[in-house]
Amino acid sequence: MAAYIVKRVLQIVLTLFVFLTIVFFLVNAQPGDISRLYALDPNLPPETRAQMQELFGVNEPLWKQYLVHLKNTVTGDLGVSFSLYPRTVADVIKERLPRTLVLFLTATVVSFYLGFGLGKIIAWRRGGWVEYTSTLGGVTLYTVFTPWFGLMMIWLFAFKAGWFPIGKFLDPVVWQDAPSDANSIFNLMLATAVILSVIVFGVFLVTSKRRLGMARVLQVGSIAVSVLIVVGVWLSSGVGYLAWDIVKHMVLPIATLTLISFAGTMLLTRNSMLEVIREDYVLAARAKGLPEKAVRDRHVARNALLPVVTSFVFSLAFAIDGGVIIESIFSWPGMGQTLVAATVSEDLPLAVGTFVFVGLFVLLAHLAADILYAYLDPRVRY
Amino acid sequence: MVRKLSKRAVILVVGFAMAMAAMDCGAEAPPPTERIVTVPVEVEKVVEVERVVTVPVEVEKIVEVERVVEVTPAATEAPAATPAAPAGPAIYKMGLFEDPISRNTWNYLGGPAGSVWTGYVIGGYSTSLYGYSPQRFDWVPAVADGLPTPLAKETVDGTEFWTTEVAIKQGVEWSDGEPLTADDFVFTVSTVRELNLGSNWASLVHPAFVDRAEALDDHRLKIYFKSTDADGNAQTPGLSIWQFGLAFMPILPEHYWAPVVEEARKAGEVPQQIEALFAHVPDGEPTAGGLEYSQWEPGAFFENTAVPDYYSMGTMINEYANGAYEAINERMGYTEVYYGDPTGDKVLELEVGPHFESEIFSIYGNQDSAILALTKGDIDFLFNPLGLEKGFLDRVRQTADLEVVENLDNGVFYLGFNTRKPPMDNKAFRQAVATVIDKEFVTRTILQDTAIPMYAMVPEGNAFWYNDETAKIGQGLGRGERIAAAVELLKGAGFTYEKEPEVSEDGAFVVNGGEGLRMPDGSEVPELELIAPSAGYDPLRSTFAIWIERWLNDLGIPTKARLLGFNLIVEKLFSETVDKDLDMWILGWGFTIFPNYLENIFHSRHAPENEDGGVNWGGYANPEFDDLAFGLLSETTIEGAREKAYQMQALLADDLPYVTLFTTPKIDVFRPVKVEFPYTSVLGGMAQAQGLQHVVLIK
Amino acid sequence: MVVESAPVSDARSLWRVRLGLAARSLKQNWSLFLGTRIGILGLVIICFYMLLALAHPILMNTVWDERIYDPVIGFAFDETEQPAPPSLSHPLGTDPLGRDILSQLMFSARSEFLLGLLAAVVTVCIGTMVGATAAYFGGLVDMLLMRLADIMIMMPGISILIVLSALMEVGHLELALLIGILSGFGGTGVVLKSQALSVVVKPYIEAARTSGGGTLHIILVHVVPNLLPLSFLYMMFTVTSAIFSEAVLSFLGLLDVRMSWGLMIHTTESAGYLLQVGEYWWLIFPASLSITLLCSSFYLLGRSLDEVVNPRLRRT
Repeated sequence: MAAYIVKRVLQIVLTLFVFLTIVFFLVNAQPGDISRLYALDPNLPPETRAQMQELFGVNEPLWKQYLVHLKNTVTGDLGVSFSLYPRTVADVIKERLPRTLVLFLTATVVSFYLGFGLGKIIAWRRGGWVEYTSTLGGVTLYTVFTPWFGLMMIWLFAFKAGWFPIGKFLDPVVWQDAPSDANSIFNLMLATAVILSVIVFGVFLVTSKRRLGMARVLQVGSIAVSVLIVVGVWLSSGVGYLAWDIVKHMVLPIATLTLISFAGTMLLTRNSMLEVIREDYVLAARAKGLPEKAVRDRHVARNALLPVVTSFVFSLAFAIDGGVIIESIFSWPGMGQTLVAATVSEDLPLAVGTFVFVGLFVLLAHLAADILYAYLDPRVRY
Repeated sequence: MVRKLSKRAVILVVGFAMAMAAMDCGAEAPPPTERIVTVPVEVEKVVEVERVVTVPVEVEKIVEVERVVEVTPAATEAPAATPAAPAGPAIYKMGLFEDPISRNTWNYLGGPAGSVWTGYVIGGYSTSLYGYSPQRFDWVPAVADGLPTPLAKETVDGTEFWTTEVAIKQGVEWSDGEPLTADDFVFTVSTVRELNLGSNWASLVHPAFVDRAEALDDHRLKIYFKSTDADGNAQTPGLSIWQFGLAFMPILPEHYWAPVVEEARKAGEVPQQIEALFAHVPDGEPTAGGLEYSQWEPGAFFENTAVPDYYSMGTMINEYANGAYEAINERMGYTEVYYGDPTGDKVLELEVGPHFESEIFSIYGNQDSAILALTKGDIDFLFNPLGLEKGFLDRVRQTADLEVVENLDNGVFYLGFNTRKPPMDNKAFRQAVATVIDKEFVTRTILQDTAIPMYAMVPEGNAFWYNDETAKIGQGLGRGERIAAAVELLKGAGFTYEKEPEVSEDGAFVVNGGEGLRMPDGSEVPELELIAPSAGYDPLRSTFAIWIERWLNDLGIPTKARLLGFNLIVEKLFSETVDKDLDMWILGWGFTIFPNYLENIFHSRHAPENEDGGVNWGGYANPEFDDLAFGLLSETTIEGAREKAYQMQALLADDLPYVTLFTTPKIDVFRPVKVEFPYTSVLGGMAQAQGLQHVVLIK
Repeated sequence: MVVESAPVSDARSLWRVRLGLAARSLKQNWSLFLGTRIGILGLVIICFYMLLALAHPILMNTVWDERIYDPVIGFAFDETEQPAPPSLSHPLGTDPLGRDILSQLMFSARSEFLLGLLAAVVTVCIGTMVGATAAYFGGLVDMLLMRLADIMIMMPGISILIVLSALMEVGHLELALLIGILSGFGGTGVVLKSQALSVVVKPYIEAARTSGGGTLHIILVHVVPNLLPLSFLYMMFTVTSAIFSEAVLSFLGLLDVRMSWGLMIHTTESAGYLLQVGEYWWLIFPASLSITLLCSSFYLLGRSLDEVVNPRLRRT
């Protein structure tokens, strides 16, 4: 196991190196540099452009820039953004990342649960109208033209119905003279989410050996208690109203993201369940006369979970990628928007930095998925 | 009210309001020429005379002026509706599409932070010696006390300079209570010069002209301009260098920035020093422009608060139909009057604010959600330099409590020719191309009046500098007439056809395109490439490009439109081989009021292959034009500059290095139930006027 | 001589046998496919759009006047105000620039099909070769190809297309190639490799090798055909992602195309009609529904093919 992990880590370091190289040359293969955009004002003296180039270091030979890029990335220095000059790329990412994480982690988790739950049901009741409607609906939403769907959600629920705010992640009036900035709140929310999920995981781990009805009671009970405690802590913290404001703004984008992505998990779960159902131990469980629900949840779903969980880990990593559209529709200034803006404005360091960061994220997820797989599935031995 | 006016009427309103256009004024207005004599920068004979003689400017100090405590915005019928104290704190809520890039003014004007968004947000922090008056763009003092002394030649230590002296108002303070003095100006100029800051700083403090500034005492300045260029040729700091350049430079507080600059200068080479200066986050920076930073939640909102001790707070500004400008500041005890007697009809009357406690700029990711926020009342004004297209317009017009204002823009979208290559080097060819382009058809019929056709290189909205007498090639002709005229032009210049284009009986369309067009030297016209923005980047320009492609092919000029993203077009224009590869392109420019951009765009020295380099991508080279353009730069009188600008426009409209295509109206939307503006028609739109933050009233 | 010709005749007869088998299994699979229902729905939608695409050039050459109905430079001179609501001459109305929506829709359907098919073919060609090669050779080749696949999978898809479209001229053709390369060397390659792994251990591969078959021969004749059903399945998913990517990029205004469904939405959006759902439905629904329908129909088709190909998913 240890040898396997070491091998994977080495491979991933190598992959990262290749990735960095590809990204650098890909992005730098584009003609021109940012200084051109600043030479476009007819009233500016022509020296200005040369000065800009010097300022940005874009007049150096490419191989030199490449070496600097490699060295800097290894030392964690992603350079200075052009379009947000002279802020560092790391600083920009630090500002944008928490927003993306909070939104997309929540959405991914919600859509995972929804997808897994529905997947279980439709695999169990094959051929029923439930299967057809949820498959059709799910696939339609899964392939729906996202920007349009997002805007329809805004139009319907924020504009016509007025239930939710229109875009953005906070209400300026609420945040006027707020005791804390949004990023600290986002970080606190992330921490809360992590603590809560650890508790939930622990509860499931502990109760999994118990009887079904008993387990259910224990699970619901302890989760409710911990949620209450968390809410209580937030309420007494004095910044709870700020978090609540963010939560209000998160509902609509999360609903949209969930609707467009749950079908992936749902269909995967279904297929995975269908494969497991044929295993002998399922037959045995049924023969024992266990209730259908117990067979489904205990014997089939748990074993079908494996590929679903790995795909879940991947989808976490791709949250940033999928974020491009949703972020721009919902005025949510996270990593996706940053990447598009950096690209369009030819801000190479920021584009490369965001890209490298996403790549790193995905690679680590890969590693995590591999290890998880090796750990969870006794059949996989390397 | 404004929204009911037709486009033509709006043009008239803007024309009427324009700073120097006296034409539309009533009968009692003095003839335009007379008014221009009193323009403060008027000088006689520049080049040979040692001491420049000025026409004395009449500045009467008005002793008693009835002080209106609260003024209602001009042209409202409500009887002195004093804005009642609002329920909560008055907040001006505006919408933006992007965060500002930096709060650091050095960076804003000297680096990549120079985005319009940054300007909207921090533009109100600083002040300058002189500025434009509201709405009319009169050149008037800001913190300067009166007008500068005329430029004079003076020899110091054996070097000859052009010099001028300016006084600064007594009692102007930074928001932390420190006085604003001549030293602050000197500090700003010398920092720009020492670090050789580029971008906008370089056009404000032009390195080839500005030598230095000196503080004669706390409130008196002397400015030295170089009298020779690098090669020793005599030069004069023209209007664009001094009055519309250095005089508009934001003054930054020495007592805050001096230690920062000193610290920055310790960092390595000059680029690192600049980086260190730009990277400074100006927490607690005092301002003198009436607004001060309060809070910034990146990606969400930005908040400024008003400075109650702002020197100009409460100034009553009156602009008269006869062209006179009057500013009365009781608190500071000064009255300024320029451009004539402050009598007769007032066209503008306002009290300088800010009339709010704070202003919030909310940031939206796209137009749709911003418009929704506006309709819902989350914001009261939207900064929308992207323009407002028909669908949005329909929507806001359907919303009862939104008001739409349409203004002319100061910019142009054009078709450029590479005048180095045949057949584009042929004037008749360019005129033939201009003839077949039916701007009115595209703007009115296809684009449904979302664009306005243009014929001169100065937009009509810039009424003082716009020359209406230029050639308007092809205007009003039908399709058949256009084709006939273009064929005539081409044949007259020695082009030959194998088969001339054939027009339908009613003259409405071309049945068979022309074929076998040969140039005067007998060779065939090669296939020409027209590069233009893709529909994804700008539907207006790509629509134009596709129609032009069709019309040129009808005429027998083989043309292929290549629609590209903006970056790729810019890339092509800046490529090393632009002189060989380029044929025709479609892009746009945004302009300043003073038309020195004509020199920057068309003077042959600005062709990329020439030493000075620049944006004359088409390589236009016309000695007659070059002379005029160079003359414009060193022109020190408004009248002389206008004469030259007129001639340049006429020449360009006939010689056609560009075919000007269209300009777009600037549309602003606001909620009149929440905000009230003393004026709404202004060249370039209310967004370009920074949302009138200093004069808006919050209800 | 006999030895040399053996593999050829072997291959020929093998193909004949395969064709026979294929015909039989096709019949079998077809009935399986009919049982999935969702696949039929997908197929019907695809056929509908295919008809639209085919009808466009015919209409343009017969009843539709080019000056009015051209999807890019046409202009509805017969309407006074643009965008005009649906009428007899313009069944789906006109867009803000006065162009016929139905004509645009039909014209774009063709390019969407071409884009999707090209991307799918490129994906499958690359994916099959990568999968077969990696599985057959194993070792270093496998390592290199799979690490490359890791990188391709790592590339955030939409983001990289956005970056690339800003860097270079990306039209339909370039987009199809890019998607094909990304998915062929990436996910599809990996999936096909795992399938190929189960093929290369089959005795007949060993037999072919010992009987002196060349490497290329074995890969092309023995391995690749066994990957085809699965590749066909992945073609469907590639079509979906190609059409979807095109729509998103056009919507963001990043592609250099003159007309497409995504661009139609972009035109609607930039002209500000996107949220006027009730008043200007013809500007919004035809294009966005077409994108959604065609994407999901290919996806549904893929899913039901999956059921056909993968016996474990079949109903018992």
